[in-house]
Amino acid sequence: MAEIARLLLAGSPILVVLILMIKFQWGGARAGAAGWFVAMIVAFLAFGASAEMLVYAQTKGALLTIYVLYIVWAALLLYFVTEEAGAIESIGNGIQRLTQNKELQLLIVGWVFSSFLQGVAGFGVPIAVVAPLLLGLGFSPLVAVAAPAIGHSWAVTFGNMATSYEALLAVTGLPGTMMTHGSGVLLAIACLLCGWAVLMIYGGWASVRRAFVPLLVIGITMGVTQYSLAAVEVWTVAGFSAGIAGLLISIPVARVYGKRSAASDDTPDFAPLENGMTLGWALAAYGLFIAVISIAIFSVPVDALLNSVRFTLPFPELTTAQGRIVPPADGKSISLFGHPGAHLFYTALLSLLIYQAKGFYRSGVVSRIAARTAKSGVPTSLGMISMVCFAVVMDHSGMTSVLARDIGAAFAAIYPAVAVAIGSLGAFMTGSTTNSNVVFGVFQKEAAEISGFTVAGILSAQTAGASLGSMFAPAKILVGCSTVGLAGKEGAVLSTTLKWGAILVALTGAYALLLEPWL
Amino acid sequence: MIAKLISQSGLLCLSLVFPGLMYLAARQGQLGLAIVFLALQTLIMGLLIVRK
Repeated sequence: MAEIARLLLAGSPILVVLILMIKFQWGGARAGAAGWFVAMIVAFLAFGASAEMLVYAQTKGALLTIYVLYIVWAALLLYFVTEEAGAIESIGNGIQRLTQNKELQLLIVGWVFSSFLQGVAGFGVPIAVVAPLLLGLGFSPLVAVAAPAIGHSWAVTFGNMATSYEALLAVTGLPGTMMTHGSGVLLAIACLLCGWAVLMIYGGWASVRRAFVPLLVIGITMGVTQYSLAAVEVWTVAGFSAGIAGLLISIPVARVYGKRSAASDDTPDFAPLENGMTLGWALAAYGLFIAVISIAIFSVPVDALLNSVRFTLPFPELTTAQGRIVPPADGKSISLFGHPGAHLFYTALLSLLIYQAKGFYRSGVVSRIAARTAKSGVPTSLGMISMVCFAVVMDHSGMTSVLARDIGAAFAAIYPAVAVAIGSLGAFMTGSTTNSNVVFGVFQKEAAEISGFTVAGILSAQTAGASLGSMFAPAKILVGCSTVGLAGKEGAVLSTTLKWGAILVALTGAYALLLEPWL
Repeated sequence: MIAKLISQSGLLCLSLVFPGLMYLAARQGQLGLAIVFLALQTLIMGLLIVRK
């Protein structure tokens, strides 16, 4: 009885946020603050967190939030720089030109393009960039946010230069080659499932039937590309290359299968916009983004120069009254000029100058961009800080461990499936696949050894689940909603991604259980 | 009333500043002062809830 009460208490902040956002339609900032209160009270009274631990947890959470907000604000800035120039509208027209089939448009933009963006940027950028594009193509705001949220999630582990995978290796101390096969296989299947789910949220089985062959061809291309590159030990570019392969195969697929769907009644627009914006100039901003990232990451002297100024804070050892020890460690390190947010910022600045020189803007554009960026960024940021801080409190006080351990013990016979669910839970709570791998990596390794399953199989299941969990992480949903005018109304989107996330996590868990001996 | 006086931008700034102040106080061994800043952070979270 006491164990059940402890489990309920440990999960209470998450339950509160879910209930308030889904049932009562609270915005992320309000619900996150409520979750923060519950986490603080439960951590202090039931889990023995000291005042000192709660204080340091806030600072760690704030540091982590600033790391993420750097990207969020820069992504919003880049979006409004391109949107004000008419680039978003032009890209929408361009995809209509490539195919007028709504299912293919959704697959190419919501699944393939968002996966590509995850490969180059991550941290919510795919949702922030793709959601307005889909809105411009005529999809509902709910589909516009939910499709990239679901569509990009399979690519998170090896996306963004495989930071999540590297984090898992760092905390477990295992060689990278140990999990490339397992995670590559699980995520390749998850890739197809994500594409399927993107079609399901739009038009159900009818849409899946209409776009089944493109789904299969593009999905296999992306999944196999990622697996192959991870298997030959270049996992840092596996996600990025899978996105490129997906975009390239989409062009012939769209030509062959891009007939008008029954649902489509839009007329293709081939002409430049009134301000002269063409598809080439519209895509220039994203081409520039790839160039900036390539130079910043692959040029060793530039990489060293940009990362020469770093900021972090050291944290002391912290203990709870119940004896749980959080070892001393540095907080999240922020590279002022080499951060992914800085890459986005450089791109935004260069794009602004180029579009300004080309005369694509109306007068007063700078103040308009600044105002729109602030209007979208502030509510999102407020939601993020409360949620990240309560996730850190839960982690430090031992609430997260109780959740993982008790759930794991209850389902020991099907632990690979549970490992997927635990990974997704971590991503949901922290808004980050990397954080989930950091929080649960060691625990999953120990659980694998105790339960008799292979360490490689369980850790592959962990990172696959953490990847998929990013689709229903409120922090990411907040980002997407802020770019399509749904700030404060995140509940509807969250309930959609939560439903499909649960289905995909269950399916991935099922095949992780079946395939575990071979992972 | 207080909730209306402080804008969302103000709340965001304060919610990022107070953890920094908590850290500085705690590192200098002034846990009492750190707890005061934690109480102020609690107030900010409360304001987030009462604002609609």
